[in-house]
Amino acid sequence: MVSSILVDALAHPSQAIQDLADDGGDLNELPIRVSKYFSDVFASPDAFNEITVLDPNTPLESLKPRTLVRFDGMVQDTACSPEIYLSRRDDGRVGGWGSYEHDDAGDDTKPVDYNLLRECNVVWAVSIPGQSSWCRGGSEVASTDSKPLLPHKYPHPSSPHLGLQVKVYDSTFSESLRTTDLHSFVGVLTSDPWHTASDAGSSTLVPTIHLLFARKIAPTLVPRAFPDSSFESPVQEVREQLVAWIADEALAGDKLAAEWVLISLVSKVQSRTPPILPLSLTLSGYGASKGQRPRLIEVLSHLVPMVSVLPITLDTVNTTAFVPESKDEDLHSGWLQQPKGSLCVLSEVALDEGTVSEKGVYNLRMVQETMATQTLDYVFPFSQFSFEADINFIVLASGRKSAFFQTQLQIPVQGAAEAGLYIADNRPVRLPSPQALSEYRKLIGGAKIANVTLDERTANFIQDDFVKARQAGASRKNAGNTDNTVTPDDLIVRMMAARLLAASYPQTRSDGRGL
Amino acid sequence: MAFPSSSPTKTPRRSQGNAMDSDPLDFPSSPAAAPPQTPRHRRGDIHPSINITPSSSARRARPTPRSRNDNLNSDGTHLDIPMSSAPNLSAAPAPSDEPDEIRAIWGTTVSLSDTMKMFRDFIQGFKPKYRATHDRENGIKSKPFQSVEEAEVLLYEKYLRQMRRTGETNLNIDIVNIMVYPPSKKLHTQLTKYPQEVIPVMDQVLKDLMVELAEVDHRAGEEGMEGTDGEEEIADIISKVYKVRPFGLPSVNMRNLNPADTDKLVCIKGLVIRATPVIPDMKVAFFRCLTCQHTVQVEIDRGKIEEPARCSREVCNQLGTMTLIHNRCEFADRQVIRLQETPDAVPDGQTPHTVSLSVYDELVDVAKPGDRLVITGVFRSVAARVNPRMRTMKSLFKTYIDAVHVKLGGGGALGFDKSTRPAQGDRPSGVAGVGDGNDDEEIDGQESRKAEMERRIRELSHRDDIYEMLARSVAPSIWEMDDVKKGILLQLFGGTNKSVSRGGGGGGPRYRGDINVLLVGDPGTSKSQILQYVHKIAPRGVYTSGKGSSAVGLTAYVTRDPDTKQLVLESGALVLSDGGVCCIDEFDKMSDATRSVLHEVMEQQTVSIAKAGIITTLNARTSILAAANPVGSKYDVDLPVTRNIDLPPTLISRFDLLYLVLDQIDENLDRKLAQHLVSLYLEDRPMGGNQDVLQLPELSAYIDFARNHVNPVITEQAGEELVACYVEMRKLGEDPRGNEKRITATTRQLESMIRLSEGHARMRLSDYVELEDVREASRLMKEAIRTSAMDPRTGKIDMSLLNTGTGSGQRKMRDDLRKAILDVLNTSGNKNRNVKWGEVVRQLNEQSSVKVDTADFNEVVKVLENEGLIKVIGEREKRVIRKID
Repeated sequence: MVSSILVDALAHPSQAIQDLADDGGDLNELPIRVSKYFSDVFASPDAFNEITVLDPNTPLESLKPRTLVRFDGMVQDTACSPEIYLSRRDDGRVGGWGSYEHDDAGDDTKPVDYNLLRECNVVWAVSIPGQSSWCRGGSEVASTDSKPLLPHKYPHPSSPHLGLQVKVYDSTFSESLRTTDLHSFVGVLTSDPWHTASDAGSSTLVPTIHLLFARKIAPTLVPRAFPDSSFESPVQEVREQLVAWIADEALAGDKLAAEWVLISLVSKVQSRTPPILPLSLTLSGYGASKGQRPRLIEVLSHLVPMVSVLPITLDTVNTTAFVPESKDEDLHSGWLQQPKGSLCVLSEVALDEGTVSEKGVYNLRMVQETMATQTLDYVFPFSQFSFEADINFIVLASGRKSAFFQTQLQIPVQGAAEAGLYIADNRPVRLPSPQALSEYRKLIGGAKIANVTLDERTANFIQDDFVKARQAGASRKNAGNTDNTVTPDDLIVRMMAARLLAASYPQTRSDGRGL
Repeated sequence: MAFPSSSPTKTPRRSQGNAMDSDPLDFPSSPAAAPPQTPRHRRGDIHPSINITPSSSARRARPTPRSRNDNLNSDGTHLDIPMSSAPNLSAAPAPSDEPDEIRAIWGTTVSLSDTMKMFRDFIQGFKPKYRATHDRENGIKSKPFQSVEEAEVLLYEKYLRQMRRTGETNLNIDIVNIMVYPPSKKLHTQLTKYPQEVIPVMDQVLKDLMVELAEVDHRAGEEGMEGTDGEEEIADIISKVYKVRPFGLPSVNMRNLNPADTDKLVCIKGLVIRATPVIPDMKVAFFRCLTCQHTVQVEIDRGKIEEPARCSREVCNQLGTMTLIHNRCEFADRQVIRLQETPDAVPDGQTPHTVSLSVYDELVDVAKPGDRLVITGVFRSVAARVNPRMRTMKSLFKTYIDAVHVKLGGGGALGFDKSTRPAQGDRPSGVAGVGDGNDDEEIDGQESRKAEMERRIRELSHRDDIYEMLARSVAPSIWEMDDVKKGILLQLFGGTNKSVSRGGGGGGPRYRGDINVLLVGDPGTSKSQILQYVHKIAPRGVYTSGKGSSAVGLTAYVTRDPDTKQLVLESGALVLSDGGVCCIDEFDKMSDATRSVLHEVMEQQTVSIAKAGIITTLNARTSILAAANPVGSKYDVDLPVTRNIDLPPTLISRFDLLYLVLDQIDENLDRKLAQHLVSLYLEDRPMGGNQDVLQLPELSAYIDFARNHVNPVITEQAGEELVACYVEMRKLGEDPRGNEKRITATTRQLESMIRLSEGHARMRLSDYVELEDVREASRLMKEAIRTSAMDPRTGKIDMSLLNTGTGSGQRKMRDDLRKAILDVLNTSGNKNRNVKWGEVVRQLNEQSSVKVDTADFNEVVKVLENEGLIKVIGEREKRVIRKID
């Protein structure tokens, strides 16, 4: 019985909606009933996996219109103007969910019952930026020839992706949608025109999901637990191996740097007042890249679910958009529009000499601000709106320090010279066994969602250390050295590092160790 | 038309008007010969949409008496009640051949004649006392009436007379007043639910009443209404179109507008992001037959004008001979505005929504991009055409709002400074018309709430610690820095803008009342946070960062409008913040070109543009709050301010207050700070802090109120104190031991002190600047001077440090250095009198107890070289100095 419902829902979603509408019951409640019905039908993981998945590899043309599809995506734009549709047609057919498509509602002299008009909200969703291939189910994105529509609405416009319009009929759900939220959207696929204010006349057809229901995706993409008891070998060992692997494969054997990388990977926005924000990290001493890829990027892409590499070159800085900006009431995306919990590697290794334009300066400032406050200002005409972000930043600097950014941590990579920090042909990144790799991911994912408190002893330790350091700084300053004064910011960094260290161990309380 | 023309007409003129109104098709072939016609009652905000919305088509489909009219072309104006209809309204069984109940709004039991009667009642019977009762019942405090008569006055009759005198045709009506007047209570619901039908009816009644009132006054022989004057006046009134503009609905968030609101009266607030130029909307097309010269007028129908295919004269009846005579067509002004949610109305973490707004006639060009508006209008849904060239429509709808009333400057934050907008040039808030709250405060819809607010504000202002409390409320999350907060607070209040035009200058210069504040300090001392906070509460506040703004970003630039493809001038931060506060972060990192613009702004308060053929001077009457880092990012207390800040002294001197925010090392303070921070990070929730602060909206309202209502005047006593303080400040520079004189204060500082005193008086809501205001201003100035103009070598205050970049102590030192250099050259010079550069420095260092500053040395050598006393030969390390005799 259940399976027949499932099959019906899969094959003829519109019919199921029509049936629900015919049940009687309040028309206003219909969107809620629809979403409840379908989420119940697809409650089990097996049923959920039955739904056709849309990803950049899916040839949209091959899908029949009005198929039931699933799309894991990031909400890019919630500012699209809502649509008003006729919820019930003259012939009793239900409106909405794309049923009106290519079907003229008779001539305009026909009376319209305004009481039947309903509103649906439109959002633009794109495939999750920077999603690592291992959590996409293994399939590598093949660079297809088909050009994605409206590439300006994707943070990395040049990389293959899928962007589509999601029409949300359930108003309570649409109100909860925020930009950069991650959801699995399940709905009916059609092709609808995309409306913007600038092109009132001509409108392009874009793939559209008429949403039946949606599921939230965890910031780790794969659900994790903390503390996690499912490790096969002792956690401490896993951690040691992980640090060793990062150090050997990415950082020329520098274990200290690897520790800090791990700490910065697991940091997240813990609270906003007082601000406990992710620690930003600069790894310096990379040297010139000579067109090679830093090994760290490769290593990280095997460890974290979302990593985007922002090449800080004059070209990118001066010409591409870093922050989302509303132009003609269409919200263009920018590099920094990243889902919460993602990792952003700012790679300065390919930087050359040249001029930074006004736009470039603005872009760099926005990166710095996002790093410092974990909020991103979207530019709207006459106003800027601040949106919360949760992005971990790792800066790869070729010199002694980053050319543009001030991070909370600066770690020079000091490793064996011959090992090299870049991927060379004769030395590819060696992957550990798949089991070990999945243990590593589990550890990082778990630590990412951990909640750690500091105990009194640690707090006092840090406090005393701070006062001592200030005194020392003051005396140094009297001696003519003004560089090394300890600021309250340093204190905060220490406290956060203590917390994160505990989380990576993994423990729920931090003690005085390690400082 | 619903109203039979058989009704008795009062004046011949009106019947004439009626005839004109009846049918455009029956127009004589040469309408120019016709007597001056009564303008058809055509309202942009009510009409064209009827023609294009499906709603109207829905209604039209039903046989209602209104659309029963055989005149197809006047379809759109089917609600236009002829002038003569008024008399039969009062008579219930009108001499009509139609059943009365049909004359109702379709689908409802609302009878139009009832509506007319109610509105007539309202205009003739509303007295302020009703409103007062209502306010009392709802616990809203309103201004008490001065006398019994004031409560009993027939308010709207007064307005009608005022309209007649001023020739105004718009009557703004507060909907709350309609609601609280018992006989018209039902009208309130009708108006909000069926504005399309009710507003034209109200317009009609308004016109009738205007005429009636004029006639009554004419008969009574009131002033200006006697004899022929009165006749003319009445004729004039008849020829005018009167409009009712209702307002005062509680505003809703624009994202709460839903289909249920379609065709209802709604009120929303928002920020204008784009406004199209005025679009001439053709209302009536005028066609002429090329063969027989027969002319035909065609009215707009559902947004379209049907071109007659053949001449309508039967004798002629030729195909395709009708041509449009452009200058005989009638046009109305229309403008489309995109309105965006104001940042304060957007739910947390959401992107702002926008709606389209159509404004018509008088409302056109009232709002400019960047203005905050409160709009009362009719919400529309229009079926979207799949293709503009196709007739089929989708069952999808577009929505927009037809504005019937526009009010400027709504929103939680401060409005712009009213004194910066000309009284007549820009129309004041609300559109032209009477009955708005602005010309008569006590009937404003917001007034009762305003009165409540005012009472609270006044109450607050009587607190003894109001100054401290307000200062605490500025950026409450930031600890300490009380004097900085106080300075910024006074900046927000601002001094009064003065113009010497009264003093005989004849539109002479305007003295700025804006206070400029500069914060200089070590990184990480929460300067930016303060700026952000001020940006949030400041009126028309604009936040820009030095690094991210170019000169154009700060002033204005020329760009191509996306709609019209014409060059337009877009204003940047400074012009946008005209009448507000412009917050500039990273002031030191701004390019020199950009900064030079500020020179003009900060003293002249204008921005001059000469770009792409557009030459203009824009007003930028803005206070500037800037934050800068010292040179080398850390403040060196041993160097004067000008050496620490890489800003031209001329610019620094334009700041009224300059605060140094330094990071000092002190064990006790550090421990306290560490404890505070650690405790913050130990707990989940931050410490409560001081609860006795004003919330942001309250503070904003307080400042707004003070800025708009209080213009303090300096009392004699305060004036004397100002003089005394100024003299005292100047005296600070006198050194009893030496004969050198330092300049401690200049007239700029005196002006600053006046502004600060005024700001302080404003803060107390006092109409007079009194002694205490001046004392506090003087204290703040001294605090600021002490930190910024202290000569680190002498510990004395020296304003010339700021004004010229060198203090008198330094000047004296340079004099000494000069003597010493000459001595060295005289004594140690060999026969060529060539001395190595390094040698001079070494010898000087040997002589002096302090190290000789290289910069000073270079400076002095350059001066000596210019004077022709010495000559420098060679480059870099090999330089030699030769004395010239």
